[in-house]
Amino acid sequence: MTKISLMALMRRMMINCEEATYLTVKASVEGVSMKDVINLKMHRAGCPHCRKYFEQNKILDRSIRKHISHAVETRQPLHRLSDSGRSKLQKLITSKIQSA
Amino acid sequence: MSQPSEPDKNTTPEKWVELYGDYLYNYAFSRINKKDLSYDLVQETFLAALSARKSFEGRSSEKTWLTSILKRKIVDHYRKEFRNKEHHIIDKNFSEEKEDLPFYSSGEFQGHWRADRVPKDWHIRADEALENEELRKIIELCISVLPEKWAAVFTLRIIEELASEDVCKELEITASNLWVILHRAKLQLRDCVEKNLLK
Repeated sequence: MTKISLMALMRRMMINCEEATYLTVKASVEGVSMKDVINLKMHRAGCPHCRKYFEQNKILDRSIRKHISHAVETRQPLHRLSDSGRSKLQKLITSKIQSA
Repeated sequence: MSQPSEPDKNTTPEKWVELYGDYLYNYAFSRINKKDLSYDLVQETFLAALSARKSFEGRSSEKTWLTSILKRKIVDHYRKEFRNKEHHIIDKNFSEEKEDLPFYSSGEFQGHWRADRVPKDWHIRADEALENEELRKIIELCISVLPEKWAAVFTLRIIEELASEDVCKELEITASNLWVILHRAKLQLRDCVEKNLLK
């Protein structure tokens, strides 16, 4: 009979880190099933690396949402049109209106 | 008081560049990461808006209307980009990239973090992270170096916040493809951010 250590048995029953990070991403974007929520919580309870991954993923998401997805609503855009680009656009629009 | 039901009162194309130029450019750049292409999309947006001006009914603000045209241009860009690549490449990439995952691919610890790739401490407090200018710049940089196919999915789902269903429809991929790509993209993003933060 093959001897299976308790650790190996535990590993077989629980999701691994690759699956845990996959579910962490899915949960943060859209949510996962109750079964997977429990799987995730159990995994994180015993895995400091995935706990750290979870926290860092949260930081990335919040920063992306604030500074990239919604940054355009702030008063000072991070990226601006160049002066030449701006006047080119202006000329283009003016000429289109006049020819219409 | 403006009358939303009178379309022509709301549209003042001569003022578009002044009023919305930077806004639209910034919107495009944050989703495209390339200056020339972002500029081109803004220009196309203005041109499309000019010819569609008559049909703009003023139900939304001019800014919202212009943004919705730009959004469509951004989705179209990624759709073309994504579909141009041959389809089998997606699978090839996946198996190739598998080698670069931070997890053991076989053995007793299969699927667990590789000892040399475990997440390190960033020394950033979660409540301060949002105000951290260096972190913001690094994230922007790391998004800009995502492989094109991943960038398409990542941008449309995470940044543009389209529904998963719509992303799958536009790019013609399955839901499971979408999540595999987002997972890989997020792992690479985290890795890249960490390397730059701790440099």
